[in-house]
This record gives sequence, C-alpha cells and structure tokens, in this order.
Amino acid sequence: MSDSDFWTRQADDRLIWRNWGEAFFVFHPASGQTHFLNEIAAFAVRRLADGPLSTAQICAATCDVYEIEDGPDLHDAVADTLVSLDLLGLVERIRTA
Amino acid sequence: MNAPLTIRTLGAPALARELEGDGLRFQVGPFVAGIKGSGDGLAEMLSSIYPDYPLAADGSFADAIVSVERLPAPLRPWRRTGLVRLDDGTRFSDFPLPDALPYVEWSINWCIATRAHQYLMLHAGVLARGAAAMILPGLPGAGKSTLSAYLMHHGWRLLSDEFTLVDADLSILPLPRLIPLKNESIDVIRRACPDAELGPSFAGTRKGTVAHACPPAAHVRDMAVPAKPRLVVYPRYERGAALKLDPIPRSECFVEISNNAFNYAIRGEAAFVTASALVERVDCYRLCYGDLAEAGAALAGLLDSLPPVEA
Repeated sequence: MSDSDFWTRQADDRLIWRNWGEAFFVFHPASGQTHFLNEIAAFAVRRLADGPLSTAQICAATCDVYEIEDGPDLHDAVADTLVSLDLLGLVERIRTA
Repeated sequence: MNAPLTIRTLGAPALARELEGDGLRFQVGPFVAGIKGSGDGLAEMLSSIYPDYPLAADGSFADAIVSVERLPAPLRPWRRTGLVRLDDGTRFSDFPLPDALPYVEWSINWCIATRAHQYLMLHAGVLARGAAAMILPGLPGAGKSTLSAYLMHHGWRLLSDEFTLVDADLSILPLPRLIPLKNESIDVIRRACPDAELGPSFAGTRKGTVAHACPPAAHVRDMAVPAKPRLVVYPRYERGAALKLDPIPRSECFVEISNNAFNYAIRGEAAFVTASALVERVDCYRLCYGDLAEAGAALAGLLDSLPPVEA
C-alpha cells in the first residue's frame, strides 16, 4: 500500500448518515449493514463521494479540515482506515500503475 | 358504543367450548392471539388470568394460534406431559400439563418476536405516564420485568414488559401482557405491590419458579392508546446498591437500541431510520438500583421534569 493508491466510492452506492457528537453511524442499503465510524473515517467516505482521491490527498484534506499536522502517524492511520472501509464495502481501492 | 366482550363475560363453560372448538381468540395490543386446548383446568386458568382481555371479532385473523395438548406417552400413560404446538408446527414440550400457562405465554411471545416485523421491536419493557413513554431495555436478569411490575402499580401505565413496538411515526403501541415474575421477584412484588394480582406459581420451569402478574384492568382497556417515547433507561438491579441514574450519550444509546431490537437486521433501512429517530427524541440514562421504591420515585421525578412529548 502506498500514498499513491487511489480510492473511490461508487456514485450510486447510497448511504444514510446520522451523527451524534463525534460518533458517526452509516447505514449501507447495499449490504444491509450499519457501521459506526469515527470522524476521520466518516470524512474520508464523504470526501470520496465527490470523486477518486489518493491516500496522500485524503491525508492532506484531513489536515486541512481538522487543522492537524501531517506526518507518518496520520498517514498510517488514514491508510489503515481506508483499508478497513474497503473491507466494509464503503470505498474501493483503485491501484495505480 | 357497547363495551367489547371480554374473557370474563364469556365465563368458564363457554370459554371451555371455545378452546375445544376453533380456539379462544382475544385481542392483545395490535395482535389477535388464539389458544386451543382442553382439560386440566385450562379454561379456569385463562378465565382467571386473562379476565379483562377483549374477545376478538368473529372471523378475525389470528396472528398466533397455540394449541395445548397432552403429549402421547404410551409407555408411561400415567404421566400428564404437556405440549404446546404453534400454528407453524413449532413445538414446546415436556412440562407437566397443568403447568401449561408459562409455556402458552412464551409461545405467544415467540410468535410475536418472530412475526411482527411491521414494527421495530425492541426487547424492552415500556411504561407511560400520560402520553410520555419510558423504554426499559435490558438483558435477561437486569430486572426489567420486576421494575415494570412495580411501576405499573405505582402511577405508570404498562405498555409491555417485554416488547416495545415502535411504528413508523414513532408511536409506541401497547402490548399489555402478563408479566412473568421469576423466583425471588415474586415475593418482592407481593410485598411491594399489595394490590398486584398474581397468578399461581409454577415451579421447575426452564426459568425456575414463575408467577404471572396481571396488568390492571385499566391498562388492558387502554391497549389501543399509544404513547410517544421520551426516555430510554437501561436498568440494572444490584442487591443493596445505592441509586445511580446517569445520562448516557445518544451514540451509546443508539448502539444499544440497534443491538437490542429483535428485528433490526430484518427491517434494514427502516430499522435504522426508526431507531435513530427514536434516539433523537429521547433522553437516555443508565439506572443502577437496589430498592424498587427509590428507583420508581427517581424515574417518575425524571420523566415529570422533562418537557412534554411532541405529538
């Protein structure tokens, strides 16, 4: 896995969101599953609804919005989050050449 | 308008004929339950324990029909072993035939839990003061039946001790059935609620000794009057514990509600939408108590202090 991996969400893959404080719940009609997401995961899923982004781009956007410092820890956390979201069927990895 | 006929007005002899024929059909909340069977005091038992339940209209569709039968035992004909057969073929058996009532009750519960998917169905007691309902979800042993039985004799209307039926507009539909008290709870309620009408005790059931607390007649009469959710309280009884009533975040309440619903996965998106809407309109608390009267006073005070429910 690298920072240049790209990720996307299918445009027709509907999600229903609720959030209370920093806890985000999303119902995924395609799978019938309800998922509990933290803020970073919810942010990544929502950002990817606008179009494909690389891991590095999602990290940069996360730093921007949450005013946190970029660094290897954040990159690892975001990369792990994206892998988990992929396993849940909420995002898809598009491998770069 | 005439009051509906009740099981009491039918009387035991006519009731016995119904049971032996197409079955006794009576209304319990939004459902029609049917019971068939004969002998071993079944008619007298039902007549004494369900007196205020309205008879279903002739020709009503029954949501559940349970038949009480004697299990054939050719090698031991002296044994009077009972069998409750559901209309889908499911069987609950191996209990002394005169002790059929708890099995009839559990069988009707089984039918509701596995069929009533038009509602979001929470495994929770629910009681109301006026139009405002308090939902009491809890794992078995948390004390929700005992607390429900206590509260229904102390200023709250019983909607159910077991099923909270939530419809799409967030109305909670009453299902005021008998409350099965187990073991020590039986004497606790006898002492704390001198007006409580308890049926006979059945020893040696799969849940120990069971006696049923009958909902007051007025609660049965109001079984068509819904309430709106205002509180969700997770109760936990602990012997000798000081009262603790602590708010919990909505996110935590949602996780517990969605895990607690019998049919969350079956209802899918509708369950998510209803459960989240419910969580948004209630206050959520965790209750630890060692004294019923203290818990009852705290819950009444809490509910009464909240703004009234929205229609």
